[in-house]
Amino acid sequence: MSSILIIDDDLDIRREVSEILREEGLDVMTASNGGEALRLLRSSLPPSVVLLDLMMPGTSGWEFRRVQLTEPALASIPVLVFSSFDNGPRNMADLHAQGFLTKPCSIAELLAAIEPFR
Amino acid sequence: MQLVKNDRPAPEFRALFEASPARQLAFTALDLTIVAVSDAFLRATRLDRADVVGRGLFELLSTDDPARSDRVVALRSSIERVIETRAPDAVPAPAYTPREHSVSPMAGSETTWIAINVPVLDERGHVVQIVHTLEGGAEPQSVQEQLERAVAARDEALRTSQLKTRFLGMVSHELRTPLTSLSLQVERMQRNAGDLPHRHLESLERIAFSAARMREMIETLLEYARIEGGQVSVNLTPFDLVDSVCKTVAHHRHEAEHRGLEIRSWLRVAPAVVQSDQRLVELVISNLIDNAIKFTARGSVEVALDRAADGSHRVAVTDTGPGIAAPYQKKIFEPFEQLGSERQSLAGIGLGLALVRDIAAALGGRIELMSQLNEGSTFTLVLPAANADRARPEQEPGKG
Repeated sequence: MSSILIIDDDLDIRREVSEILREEGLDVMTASNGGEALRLLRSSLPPSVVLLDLMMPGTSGWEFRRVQLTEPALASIPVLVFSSFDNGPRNMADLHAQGFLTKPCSIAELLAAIEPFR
Repeated sequence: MQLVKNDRPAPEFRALFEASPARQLAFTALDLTIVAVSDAFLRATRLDRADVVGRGLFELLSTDDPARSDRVVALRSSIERVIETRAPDAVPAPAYTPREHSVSPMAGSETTWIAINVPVLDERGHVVQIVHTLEGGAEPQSVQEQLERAVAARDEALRTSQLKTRFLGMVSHELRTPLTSLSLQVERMQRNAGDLPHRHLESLERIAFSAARMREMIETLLEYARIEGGQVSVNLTPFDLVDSVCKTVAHHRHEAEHRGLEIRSWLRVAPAVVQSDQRLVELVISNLIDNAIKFTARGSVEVALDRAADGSHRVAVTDTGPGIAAPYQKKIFEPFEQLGSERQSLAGIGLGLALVRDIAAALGGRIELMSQLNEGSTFTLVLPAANADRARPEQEPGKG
């Protein structure tokens, strides 16, 4: 079964996206900031993809990605930037991410974005 | 009490004279030699006391500038009148120039001043001195000071504008987050609605519709913040305006019909390929249609595509709304301006037309408005034929 880690400081988004993806048959983990996500990743099987918010209190999405890329065990986990910022392509490039999705989005857009990683 | 003795002011009176808040100097009636000058006069004229006291009054005055030399002649006449009549006299002030300057350092602001010449009489009633006072006008500034003030004012205005733009941008981003979960929840409920009662399905549809409207308003705010912040990037590609008109009309059909309005498009030219920014063009048309729907209680909204004789393309959005009286036709393009209490009660945030005008300008085009009270309005997006040449070059995309 494919799995996904949702990193977002907004509880409603974590809940809602989790529900949608569980209904799609994915195994879902969530974290409310980058630090929590790194601890989770270090102690569990790597997910198929990470859905990464950028602006978060504590460890931001940018910081999460920087640390992730320095840890060999985590570096290869693909990341989808999931942010309300418009400059998705630039953020994706800056973060060496595998894709981006701009908030708000439809369910179809969400599913299409994660489809390549399932 | 005698102000002067032997043409020279006594030290205590000179000190008083110098400390006077009036912009004044005193000179002898005999040979017009300046005997005292106030600090206020020196500040106002940017002269040094050493440059003034002991010199003849007319040595201070520039005659290089013909406009000013008239004033020097007028001052000379004034002084003659004072000596003759022993009565005060006023004339427009001349320009005062220190020895080493060929041009007055007063930067023209002295032109609003009046010079008042008041005679000082001795015991026998003879005019021995004249006190020459500058009145009126603002405290003059040097060119440098004026420049610094202008720069400071501009920086302050820019800072305020940037703060406003950043605030708009931040608020819009923040709003996108709850909107994301709201839209996703509604969409999921609609997908899983199954055998929900009809009235709940209708409610869901209305919630979805409101969320979509909110999303558009947030996008408008963000677009406005980007344009105001100079962060909009114009991406020119060839595309068919027919597609843009059909797409935007279809997008608004549901809302128009929901409000009991007929909405139709009229393609008087097809295809209508232009070189412009498709996303921005559609944003403009969409905002014009949205505006027309919002302010039209009954009747129709019509979107007509045409090409003018000069090759420019015109997308005209005509409504059967209340119309806009002539005095307000410029005002409605200002940010946050809406007309009348009826309009303020409606959902718009009053940025649509300001945004539309700025985007049209960024695309090298313009918005034309034709309207008469009680006869509806037509807002027309005009895209010039040589659009690619006139569009603003692409700017650095903003950090969102």
